[in-house]
Amino acid sequence: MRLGLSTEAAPDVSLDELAAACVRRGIAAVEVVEGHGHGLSVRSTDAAIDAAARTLSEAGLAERVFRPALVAVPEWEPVAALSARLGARVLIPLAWAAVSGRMDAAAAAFDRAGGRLLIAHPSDPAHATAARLLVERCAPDLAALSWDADPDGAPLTLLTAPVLEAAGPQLSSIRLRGSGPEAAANEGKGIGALIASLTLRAWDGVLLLAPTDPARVPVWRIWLGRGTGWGCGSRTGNEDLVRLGTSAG
Amino acid sequence: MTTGTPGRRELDVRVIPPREKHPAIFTTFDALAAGESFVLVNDHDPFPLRYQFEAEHPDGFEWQYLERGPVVWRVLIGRR
Repeated sequence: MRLGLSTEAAPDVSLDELAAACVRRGIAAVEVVEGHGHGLSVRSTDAAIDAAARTLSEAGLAERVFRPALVAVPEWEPVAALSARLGARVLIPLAWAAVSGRMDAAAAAFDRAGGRLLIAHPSDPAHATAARLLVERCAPDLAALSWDADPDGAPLTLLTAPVLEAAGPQLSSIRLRGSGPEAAANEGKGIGALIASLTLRAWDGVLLLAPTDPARVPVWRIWLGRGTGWGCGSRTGNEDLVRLGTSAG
Repeated sequence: MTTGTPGRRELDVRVIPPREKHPAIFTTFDALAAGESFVLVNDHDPFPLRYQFEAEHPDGFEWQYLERGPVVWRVLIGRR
């Protein structure tokens, strides 16, 4: 399992700052959300995408997810081209991908461009099954699944086994809200049981950390600026609070 | 830099709420058969945990550092 970070945790920082924070935190994967401070979008030039790919590679961020701002009738070619050029899976919500014809059109474009897709499903085994079947039917070789795990929903302790069974080997990432600096506030919601279960299954995917909501971003910024974590209470005090800078100054 | 090894059991406790860390570690350990192991991943040296293993599983566990920081600590914990 590799640890990743969504730019939702630092929406206003540049890609360079984000990469440095990931190195500081030992993070190996990143979810780049369109519209954030990194500047990447489906309209980015090839040179800008190549530069971003180099920055991410130099930071050891080999696993990448790009979440586009979806529009009603997308042009898949530029999205697929960005996926291939950046080396990132493009994340699409199941509710959006399940509309008739969309997944077939996306799969054709991504196949031509050499891109890869990721279908995000919520914490419901039925939705995980639907997502898996969609991937198996439309794009078994270029799409995978991503589970949006929210500790504020139904208990992860109860959901972990059925969701993992329903998603099967297609599950390549889990977006976990409320971990990192919010972990202490989410005790008893099954995060520990989820991680232990993934370990015992030798799951080799990416665990993407994200805040529960935008109001939590300031505490994530502090957490990303620090080199160490909150720990388990056994470590001596550490006052090295370093704030992550922002591109806005 | 953190990189997972395909097929290897890695328990990354960096993302687990503080009070759930040790229960998750011992749940994982308890599920191991003799000779099996997992790799504990943490953002600081988990040496206090070793004392707990020594108290609860004397001569029943293996503890081997694979990486000693400064960003990530990896410890192979096995059941004898």
